[in-house]
Amino acid sequence: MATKLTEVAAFAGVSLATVRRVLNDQPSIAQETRERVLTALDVLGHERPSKLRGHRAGLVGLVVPDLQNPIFPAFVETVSAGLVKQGLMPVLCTRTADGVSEANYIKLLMDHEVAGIVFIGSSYADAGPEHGRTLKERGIPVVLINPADANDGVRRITVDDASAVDQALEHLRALGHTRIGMLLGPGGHIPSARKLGAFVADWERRAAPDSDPGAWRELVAHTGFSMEDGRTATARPLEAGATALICASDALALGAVRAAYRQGMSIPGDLSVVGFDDSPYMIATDPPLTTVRQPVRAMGAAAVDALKAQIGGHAGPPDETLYEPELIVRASTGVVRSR
Amino acid sequence: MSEATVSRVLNNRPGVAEATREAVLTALDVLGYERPTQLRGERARLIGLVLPELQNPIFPALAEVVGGALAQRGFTPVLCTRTTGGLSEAYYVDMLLDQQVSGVVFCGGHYAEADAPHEHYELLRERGVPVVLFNAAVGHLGFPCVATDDEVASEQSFGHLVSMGHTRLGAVVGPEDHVPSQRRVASLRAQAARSSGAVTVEVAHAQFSMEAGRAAAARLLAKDVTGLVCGSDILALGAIRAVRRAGKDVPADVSVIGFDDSGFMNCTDPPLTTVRQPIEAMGRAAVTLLLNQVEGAAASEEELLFEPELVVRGSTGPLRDGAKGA
Repeated sequence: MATKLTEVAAFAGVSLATVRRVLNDQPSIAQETRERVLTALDVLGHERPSKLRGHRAGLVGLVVPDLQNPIFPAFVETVSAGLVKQGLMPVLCTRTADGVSEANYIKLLMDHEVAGIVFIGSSYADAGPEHGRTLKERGIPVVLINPADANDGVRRITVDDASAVDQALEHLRALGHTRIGMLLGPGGHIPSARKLGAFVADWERRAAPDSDPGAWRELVAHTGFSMEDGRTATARPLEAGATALICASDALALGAVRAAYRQGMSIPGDLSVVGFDDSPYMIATDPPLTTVRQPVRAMGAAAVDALKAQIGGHAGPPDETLYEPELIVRASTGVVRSR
Repeated sequence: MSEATVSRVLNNRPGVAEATREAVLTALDVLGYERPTQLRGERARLIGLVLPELQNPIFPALAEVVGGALAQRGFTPVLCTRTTGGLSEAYYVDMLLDQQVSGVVFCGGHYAEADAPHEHYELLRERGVPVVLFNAAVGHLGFPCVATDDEVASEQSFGHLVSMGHTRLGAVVGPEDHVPSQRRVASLRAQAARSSGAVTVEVAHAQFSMEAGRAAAARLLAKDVTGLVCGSDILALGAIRAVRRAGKDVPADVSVIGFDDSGFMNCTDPPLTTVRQPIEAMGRAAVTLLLNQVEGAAASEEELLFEPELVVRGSTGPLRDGAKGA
């Protein structure tokens, strides 16, 4: 081995000590020196140590549930831009209708020896316990943006769902609404559960002491995340007499608007609707959508920083950082009409 | 040859002539050294997917189709978006070459712009990397192309507006050197010419943003057009805003047609009449064309044309009696 190392050092034009430091992946080696040593290894026909093999790639997996909901491309765009500026290349993984599961993607990503993975609106728990364990065992840097389920022990960048609901409630109350309903994602979806938590807490603060503690249930519908899901689910809160709806995504809100139109209602005359995300072009919808905007750029940049830190071996605590959303008032909310 | 040049080649740095690069690699081979792994010519099961942006919902929709079709065949897309203030296409191509990608799919980019730099496409060809392009490209690149038939799109828009009595049409299209826009304008003008002066077409160019669409549409409205044919849904949304800002109504005073039929265009105010690109079929065809080349089939230079369809919603209507037409 010693002669091999001497050869490598001579070829690369560096000291033996430097070669050793590169092979042991120690810090404080200039990138150029590192590459010279690795190239010397390659040229002289020696295998690179396994932990250095993936380095060339600098690939980062971006896992998103789909690209139909425009908030996901918005996150993908900002995270990609941040990664590329750091010399990392994003590889895109969407769980498509054709049934390429997230589990499969994680296998593909690991085959490509990615430097890290950013999960957007999903989480590696979806990949099944086996792949989740492999990710952890290999120590692959992971950051979650708005994870779909609980993930203690992983770095999370999350929009403050409770604050979003509080802002929407305050806005609607100021317009005179008292019967406010909600359209949420499926049960078990953490961002939806958090929104519901804020809604119920608000309900309980206002409820008369002797009232039915579960009376809010008829005003809340859980459904999928497509516009059609939103349209169907709107029936339940409307039957319960809701004059306003807070929705867990803009797509759900657009579905609620269609359901109301279909029943001959006007918006916001008969029903006020608040979306969530503020995805692109919600200003051009009928009516322009009042919605709670996620700070996509700030969250995307934070995710890239957190991933970069982990890749560099400087991972901070695996905390959750909450980002404050903001209410954007357009034309889908208005003063309650006495019914 | 200098040591520095050899080092540049071994580290796969740009700025080395292809002939020089070959000479160094041959020397390595002859002297019995192994090539660095990066230069062994083994390609990764990665495909570059180059998109201008992800704001316009047509691009994420394309990315989803292409990504899904690639994944089914065991390939993963490397995402390259030229975001605002972002990096050049040439830079991305360098990075993709570093990654040893097996091929590249371009969905919009410099290949469609006559005045943009095209050297990086030449580089891909020299390295023998298979490439497929989406929608019309400048003439001389010689890559296979999967395109919406711009002529059919123009005929559908023209026919729809004229059948409702519109005779003064305006086209809000992309920049002047944008090839698909050139094709659509040429087709609109050819049809106007066939009408022997009964129908006129005014043209305004714009960057592909809602704001630019609004400004371009405002210029056309000053010429009293009553039907606007737009180069993308986003341009059409801008055009609708321009009509309203001029104190007029869509579609009572001015009809507006988009192009793409991207997501949620049935929820706009008014719901947008638009020409739908068959992106599902196009995306799958592009992946098939590309992976056939990756697996050794000869590269063709042909352009596969896909027929779009006109989706009529609420932003077009008959010319109002007494409206300022021809």
